[in-house]
Amino acid sequence: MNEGYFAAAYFVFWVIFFVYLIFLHWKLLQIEKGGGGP
Amino acid sequence: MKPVAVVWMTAAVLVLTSLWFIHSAPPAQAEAGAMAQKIFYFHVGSAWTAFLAFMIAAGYGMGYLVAEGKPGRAARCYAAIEVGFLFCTFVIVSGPMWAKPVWGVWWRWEPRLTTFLILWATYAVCLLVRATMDRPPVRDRVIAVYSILAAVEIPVVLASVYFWRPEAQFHPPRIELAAAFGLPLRWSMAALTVLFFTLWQLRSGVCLLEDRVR
Repeated sequence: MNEGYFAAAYFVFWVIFFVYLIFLHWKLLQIEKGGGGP
Repeated sequence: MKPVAVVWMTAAVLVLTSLWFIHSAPPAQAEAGAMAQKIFYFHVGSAWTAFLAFMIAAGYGMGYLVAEGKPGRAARCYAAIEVGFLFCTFVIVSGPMWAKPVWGVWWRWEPRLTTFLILWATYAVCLLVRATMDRPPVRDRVIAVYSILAAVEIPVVLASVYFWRPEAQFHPPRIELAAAFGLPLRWSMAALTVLFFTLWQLRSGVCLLEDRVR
């Protein structure tokens, strides 16, 4: 049971990290297209 | 190898080794919450990193106000806020995951949790300011002033365990750590700090590019 909380917390950490990297990549693609985005 | 690749590899090695340290560290409690307690290493490390990020943002905010017109400082100020906000979010999310098995509740309106939630909401507003204001000089000035004012909350969060009566507290005023727990904690803090600087550099560059093509 406790392993579940432990695994979930570290999973959330990696989700936040990788979603942010994807967000930054999307920003760079927007810039390449010529728009700064929000 | 490019310097940026070296920085990314350093961050990756530190984070992965910190996970190994955390996994091999003995559980601090023999009873309920033994494994969940290990959330503590990234929870505390992320809180430290968020505070560091917000202090850096306030520093660059001051720097921008002193020498206005330097977009690099404004970019670094905002980038520190945004990346710090990520770590702040992880603290908010991981806290309840640790609290439930150890304290028996997901959340309680005790001083440390409440002040930290206010801190998170304050910086969330800053992200909205960046997303909604169009004119960079005005926007950057607003964010610079905001970063300085918001940083005042950091000592409030840190001192919140002393402000209110002890019966209202869930967080201990001081954490006495045995050597077996000290190394994984310090290693995690170092790893997350390097990860922050890596993401901060990346985001600062993207901020500058955004303003250039705007």
